[in-house]
Parts: sequence; structure tokens; C-alpha cells
Amino acid sequence: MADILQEIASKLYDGEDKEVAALVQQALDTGMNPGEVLQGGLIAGMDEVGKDFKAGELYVPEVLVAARAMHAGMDILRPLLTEGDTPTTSKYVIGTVKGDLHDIGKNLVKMMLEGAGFETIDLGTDVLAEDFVAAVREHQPNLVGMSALLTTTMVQMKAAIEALEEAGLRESVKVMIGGAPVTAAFAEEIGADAYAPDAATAVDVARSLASAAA
Amino acid sequence: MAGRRRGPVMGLGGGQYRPLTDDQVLRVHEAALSILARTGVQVEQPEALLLFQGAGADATGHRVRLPRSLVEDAIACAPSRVVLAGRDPKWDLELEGARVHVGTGGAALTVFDLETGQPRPAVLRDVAELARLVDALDNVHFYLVPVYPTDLDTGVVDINTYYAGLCNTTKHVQAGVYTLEGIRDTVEMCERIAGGASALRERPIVSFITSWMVSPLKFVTDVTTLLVETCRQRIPVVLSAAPMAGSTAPVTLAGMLAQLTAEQLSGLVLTQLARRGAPVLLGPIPATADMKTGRYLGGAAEFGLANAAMAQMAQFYRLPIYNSAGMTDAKVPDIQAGFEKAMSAVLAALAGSNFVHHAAGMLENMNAVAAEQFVIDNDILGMAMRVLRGIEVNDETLALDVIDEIGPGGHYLMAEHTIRHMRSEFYYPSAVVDRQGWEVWQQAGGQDARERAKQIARDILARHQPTPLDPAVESWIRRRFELCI
Repeated sequence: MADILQEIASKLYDGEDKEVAALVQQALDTGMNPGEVLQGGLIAGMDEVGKDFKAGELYVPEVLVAARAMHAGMDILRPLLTEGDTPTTSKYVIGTVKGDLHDIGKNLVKMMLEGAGFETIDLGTDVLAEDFVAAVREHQPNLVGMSALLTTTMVQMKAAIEALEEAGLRESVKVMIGGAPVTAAFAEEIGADAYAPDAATAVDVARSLASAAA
Repeated sequence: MAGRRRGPVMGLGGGQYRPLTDDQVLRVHEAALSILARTGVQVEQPEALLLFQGAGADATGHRVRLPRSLVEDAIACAPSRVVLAGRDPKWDLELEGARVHVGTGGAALTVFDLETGQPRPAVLRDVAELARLVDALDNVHFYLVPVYPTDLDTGVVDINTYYAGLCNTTKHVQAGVYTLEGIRDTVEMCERIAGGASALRERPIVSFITSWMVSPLKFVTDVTTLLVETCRQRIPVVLSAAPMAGSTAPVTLAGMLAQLTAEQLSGLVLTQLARRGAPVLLGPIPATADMKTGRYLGGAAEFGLANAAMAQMAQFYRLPIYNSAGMTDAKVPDIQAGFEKAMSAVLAALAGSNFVHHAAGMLENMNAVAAEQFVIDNDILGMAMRVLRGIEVNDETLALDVIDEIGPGGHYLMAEHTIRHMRSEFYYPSAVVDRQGWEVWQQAGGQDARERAKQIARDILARHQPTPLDPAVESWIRRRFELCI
């Protein structure tokens, strides 16, 4: 029985989403408990991916396709999982700020967060301060992430934080910022809670902010 | 998933950089023949003199003038392809055409101690330790013994340096030779390692360097004796000559190239008279003299330029070439060392030099080495080899289907095509090269490249164990020769 879990973990590691979905279904059909499949298959596989990524053996695209494979498995498991089976997921609203159309960095962070089990709400690019406010009001996320590539648009991060304050929502979320010109010092200066220099670090930072808030 | 480590990337095709036009190559060639016929070379070594005279050269006293026919005959009968083997065949170097291989050079007297950071005299132990370090550096393709062991008597240097090198790396080992006895001992030892006399000739795991020429145009008597011996032993030998434009060669680069070509051809003639078909590498290392001080300059822009031109001459003659890149006039592994080394390494690679030595580890030209510099240069060479590899253009790499599938505004991060090619398409340097942002770099200790390279060198020396010699062979060698290590 444990063999199929190992196979799920291994196919997940290789980013084979269709095979992971098929194997998850097969495991359930043989009467395995959904929580067991989640822990021993999907999460075990993602842990291995995370370990090898940190060691520099796996590259970003491989983490992303592994995360996609995990979601393929989760889509089958989710309706069957009971409350105790699932780790509570954090919600993360993410967007590139007003005036900036660069989205590869933001997308990368989003995908890495999803791979780590966050539920993300992607506002896209050129996001107005009031759109961040509206999204926070609607989705009540744990975290908000803002991205900018241009030195001319990074000031919009400050505007968005101020808009959250004016709306009385600033205390309800943690705000993270990132992007090529952004620094930890800038984050502090504009009153953000955290800064991450790259997508992998963003996941670590988001995790620690979410657990501190919980 | 595909492993990141692949086999060595060696023997890539150069020749894209050609500082001389075809007409200029011909003019240098004609000038060299004219120097040999008109000015000639000074030869005092009796056996060489007899060989030249017997072949019809005009020898008046010790001045030997070579007719064109004799030179052309030597060019025609020297092999165009020379294989320098490694103990492990994956490190076999096939020298011919514009195939590029890069490695260490010698023979420094000073080592920067990895722990104290201070310069000290090189010893035999360094020959062994640096071989072990180089064995683990994939972009260094051969081990030319980089230091001269100052703790040994000259009479035992040859056997000991080759032994210390061969025990600690499976790459090809080359060194300067100092005595006839040393050459014979080394050949005997290597025959035993290779599995017999003919096995060694078929796959020579060692080769010899003879600096038989003191520019301008004068044979060194003692070394000429060694050169003739190595030819008769049928072990590949390098005709090393290193003139400086402005002091031991004309100040004009063209004049230096003409003189150096003449010097090389005079040595080539002798090798083919000593033994027709003897495997020889041309060994021209053109440099410049600092006109402000008279000092040798290995890091000058002209160095890469002139060495590339000599690679063209060798390609014109269809003869394998040993020359140089990666020297620097800097005293320590600093920014000057970095840019001087990078420049000449890329030029030598693009010029298609077959056996580029001095390309790892050297400081203050040939005076010193530092372990961390080998590690740094390994990445300079890796990047140079990546440039040399060029750009593959075909249906798969043009990726039209992927571009269409992703479409405007999408991204390629999760495409199968990306994962399939991302490891092989780019060169991934070691941790010498920091690619993180400021904060991450600072959190990791904010070290510069030299400090990171030192740590890598320490790690390699702490753990890397090269494939040892066969124990029976090893004990035979230890009984047979006076070894100091």
C-alpha cells in the first residue's frame, strides 16, 4: 500500500500531473484514506521538491510543474478531505502596482506560493490602490503582496498601503513587497511588513508572517 | 530529472577569432622562412648541429641557416594530430585543427598558502595537492605541473613531479623536464602505469615541455639535448618559446610573430631530424615587455591578440599548438587578475588554440599560484567554453511551437521545453559566482569572490579523492625510484 504513496510522491517530484491525478484516484479506489494520500503522497513529494530546490538541485520550473502536479492531486482529494486532514490555507492577494505592466516576477511568486499551499487571488498588473483595498475587503486575505519592476512605480506601493490604512483594513493583513528595485530598507520606509528578494524567499517570508498572525 | 553534472566539455571548435587575414598569415610565413634562410639560428649543441648539417643546412660555426625545402619537409612530416591521454580516457585530449583544450601552466616558485594567505616557496606537496584540486575542476582539462618543488634536488625533480601529478589526477600530466635521467625514469614509470611501452606511445599519459629556445633565435644547449631525447622516446614534446616584443623580439607584433614563427620552425626541423614523425606541439607564447620597466607582461591586451595570431599560424601549418592564456600581472586574485584572465581566456578559446596552458591558477604571470585562483579560473574557463559552444539553431531550439503555445503575455517558466533545455543551454558557475541580490548576499556573510573560492578549495581538498594508481604498480614505482612523497 505504501508503494503507491511513494509513486505519487515520485511522479509529483517529476511534475507528471496526469499521472499523479490517476494514481491518487487509484489509491482512493483501493480504499485508502484521503488524509493518508495527502500526507504520504502529495505532501511527502512536495517536501522532497522543497529540499532539493533549497540545495540547488532543482530549478524554479521544476518546482512549478511539481506544484501543478500537486494541484492535480488536490483537485481530486479536496472534496473528500475532512476538516482535520487539511492544513488551514492562507489567502494571499497579489498584484503588480499601478503604472507597471511587468508580471513575470509577480507570477513566479504566485506560483511558488500556490505550490506551498497558499490560496492566491491574482489582481494582475497595473493594479490601482483602491483595487487592492477592494480585494482585501472582499477576500479577507491573510497577506497582500505587491510587485514593481520600475523605480518610477514602486512609490505606488506606498500609496496602496496608505489606502489600506484609510479604509481601516491595514491591521487585518500583512503586506509584503518585492521586485528588482525594492529593498528591505524601502519596505521599512513605506510601512510594509516584509520584503523578499526572490520568489523562494517570498514563500518562506509569507509562511512566517502567516504563522505569526495565526 | 537530468543530472546537472555532465562529462567534460572539451575539444570544442574555435577559430572564430582571426586577427590575421589569410594574406597576413602568408606574409608572416614567408618572413619566417626568410629569417631562417638569412639570419638563421644559433646552435651549439653538437648532436643538433650534426643533424642540421647532415640534412643540408648551411652551418657556419654555430650559426645554422635553414633552406626552405628543409622547413617545408618538417612541416609535412610532423603529425597534424597528437593525442595526449588521461589515465581516465574521458580526459583524453585530441589536439588538431582548432579544437580547444584549457588547463594549468607552470612553473611557479611561490604558492599563496590557502590558510595563511601568505606567499611561501612551492614544495613537492603542492604538486600533489594542486593536482588533487584540479582533478575536481571540470573546466580544467589537463594538469600541467604548476609549481617547481623548491624542496628537491634538481636530479629528482622530474620523477617526483610526474609521480605526484599522476597519483592525484586522472587528467593528462605535463611538466617541464630537467635531466636526461629524469626523462628516462619518467618514461619507465609511465610505461608501467600505462601497461607497456607501446601502450604508452598509443596513449601517452604524460608529455614533456622543453624550453629549448632563448629568444631571439638561440638554442639552449642543455635543453636541446633533452628535446632530442624526448623525440627519440616518442613521447609528445612541446617546443616552448616565449619572446617579449620590445626586448627579445621586435617591438612590432608582426615582427615578433615572424621571429617566433621562425624559432618554432627551427625547433620543428630538429625534432623531425631527430625522429621523423615525432609527435610535437608548437609552443609559441608571444608576450610584450613593459617599455617603462622592461618587465614581462602576461596580462596585456596584446597577449591575447598575439597568441591568437600564433594559433592561426599553427592552423596554417596544420600542426597542434600549445600556447597561453589566463596570465595576469596582478599579484593577488583581485579585479585586475579577473579581467586580464577573462580577456585572454576568451580570445584563446575563440582563436582555436589546442592546448591553452597557464589558464588556471597563475598570478604575477608565472611566478605564483593560489588554490582559490584555480577555482576562480575554472569558472572563467567554463564561461569561455560556453561562448565557444555557440548557439544551436534548429527547429527544436527555435521553439516556434512553444512560442505559439505560450502566446503573447504568457510565460515560459513551466513549459516542458524550458525544463528540457534549461540545464544544457546555460552555463551554471560554481558558488564562486554570486548571483543573489544584496540582502541575500549580505546575510550569507557578504564575502567577495576570492573568499568564496577559498572555501570551495578547502571543501574540495577536504573531501576529493582521485582514482588511485593500481596498488601493484604503485608499489613497483616506490621500489624502483627515489620518491620524496
